[in-house]
This record gives sequence, C-alpha cells and structure tokens, in this order.
Amino acid sequence: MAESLRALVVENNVHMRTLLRALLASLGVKDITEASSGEEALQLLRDKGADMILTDLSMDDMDGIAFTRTVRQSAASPNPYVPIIMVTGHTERHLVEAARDAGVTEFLAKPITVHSLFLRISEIIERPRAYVRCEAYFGPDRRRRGDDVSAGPKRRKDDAEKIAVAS
Amino acid sequence: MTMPATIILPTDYPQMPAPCVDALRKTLRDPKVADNAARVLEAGKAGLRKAVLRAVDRLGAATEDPASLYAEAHEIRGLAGNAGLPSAANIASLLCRYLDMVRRAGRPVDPEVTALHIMALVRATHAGNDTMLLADVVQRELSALVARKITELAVDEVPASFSAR
Repeated sequence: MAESLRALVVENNVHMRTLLRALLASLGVKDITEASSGEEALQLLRDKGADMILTDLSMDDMDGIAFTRTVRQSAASPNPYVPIIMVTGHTERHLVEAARDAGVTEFLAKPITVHSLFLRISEIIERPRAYVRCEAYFGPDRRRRGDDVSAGPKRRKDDAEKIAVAS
Repeated sequence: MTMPATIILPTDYPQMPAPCVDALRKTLRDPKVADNAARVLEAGKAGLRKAVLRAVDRLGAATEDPASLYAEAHEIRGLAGNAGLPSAANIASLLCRYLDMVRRAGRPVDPEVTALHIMALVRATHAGNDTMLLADVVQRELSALVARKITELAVDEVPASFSAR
C-alpha cells in the first residue's frame, strides 16, 4: 500500500515543504519525514530510512548537491540507491549539471504541477535506473536514451570487418 | 590504471517494496487523486503569495549584497510560480541569471539592473489580473536588458530554462 511508502522531503522553505508534504499526502503517502537541511536529512535517513527523497537544491549548511553526493558515495550511507528527485527553481546550467553529477535520479522544475510530479514518480517506479560505479561517479546511469551511443565514424577493427561483410 | 565502470542493474539493488509500487501505480492513474492534488496546489497559493511578498520586501533591502540579492531572488522564483504569480517568477529568474553571470565573471553588479528588476517585481507581485499584461511587457524588456548585459560580460551563455530530460 502507498501508506507504507516512506518519503523524505528536504526543503529549507517551510511553505514549499508544506506544499510537498500535502501533495505526497494526497497520493496516500502517510510516512512523510521533513528536513530543512541536508545535515538534518542525513540523520533522518539513518534513523528512519526512506523509499524516496524529494530535495531542494539551495539550502544552508549542506545543500541538495552535497546531500545527494553523500547519500550516493558515503560509506555510511544507509541506502545509496534511494531515488532522489531534486525539486528546484535553479535554471543555471552549471548547477543543474552539478546536481546530475552528484547522482540525482530525477529533476522536478518549479513551479510544481500535478502532471510533472506524477511523471517523475512514475519514472522512478516504472523505469528504475541502472547505477554506474566508476572512479569519478556513482549514481544513476546518466544516459537516458537508447541512442546515446557514438554517431561518429566507425574506426574499430571489427567495425571495418562488419562494414566489409555488409557491403 | 583506470577502474572500469560497473553497471548495477535495477534487479541487483534494493527496490521499493512491490506492494508500494503497485499501490502508487494505481494512485497515479486515478483522476480523482490528480484532482485532489490540484486542489492542494490551489489551496497553497495564498500562503506562498504572502511568502513571495515578504521576499520582495527583503530583496529591496538587500541591494548592497549580491549574495543576499541572489538568495532572495531565488526564493521568489521558486515560490512565485506556485503562488500564481508567473510574471514575478520569470522576472526573479532573469535577475538570478544576471547575478549568477556577474558573479562568475567576477564583475560588480550594475545597480540600475537590480533596481529595475526590484521595481518590476513589486509591480508584478501586487498586480491584479488587469495589470498582468503590463508585467509581461516589463518582463520582455528586462529579458532584453539582461541579454545585453550578459553579452557585455562576455561569459558563456546559459539557457534561460532547462528541460528535465
């Protein structure tokens, strides 16, 4: 049941936090925990756990990017695979890219609409992402489309063989 | 030697409990739930509008400090859309964009640019429906002004908005 889903809302603005809580409650989610900073959220995540996190980007002390990075990469993280939806009004490309590279699962741009929120939650449950672990990154696979492969000239040895066979 | 990337498939890490997923799936497809959520958003508008008005007041008092200016402008752009003040959200977003570019270029803030945005925000947040068109005109003028200022800064352009995917 949706009531047993544990959601963590991390947002320093009390009005937006209240709105997000009310929206999740309207979906039937009962177990909603709130934090106003990344530090507080990490503690709550350790104490209570969460099946889904909605976090702001800009916060005092520990912002949403540092929080996401810690959840994904810290050895003490209780669940590095937890889906994280970043709810943000930030449109500056460098911040969006930094959030993506920290390991955010989905972006939800403000203003929040019912459609956009439902779409992001649907993505999480219908198309859970593969995770990538390498030296510089741990988080959801950032390649979103099946066609995210090189479109450049084929230069590998076996490419040449394939082309020869085809012709 | 570089560590090879490891791919961890969804079947190989803990997922949300299946009963939760099934219940959520049904809930997200229920039009009554969507209607209820829309009512929640509508009910939140009044509180958000008050918060936006307070942030605009603080913005007017923060003109000496670019970081405070950015923080207040960012708060306005984050709240104003859901407060039913789309023009205010767009004007605040323009100001954020300008302040971000100025900071990255290591240049001083042009007080005329911030003053024009603050005046426009005051008008847009107090506007009734009849003055929304005026706010749209002001927003277009400010957009042109910010674009010109950013060109003068000669910093890489950033998009005015981003798509989630």
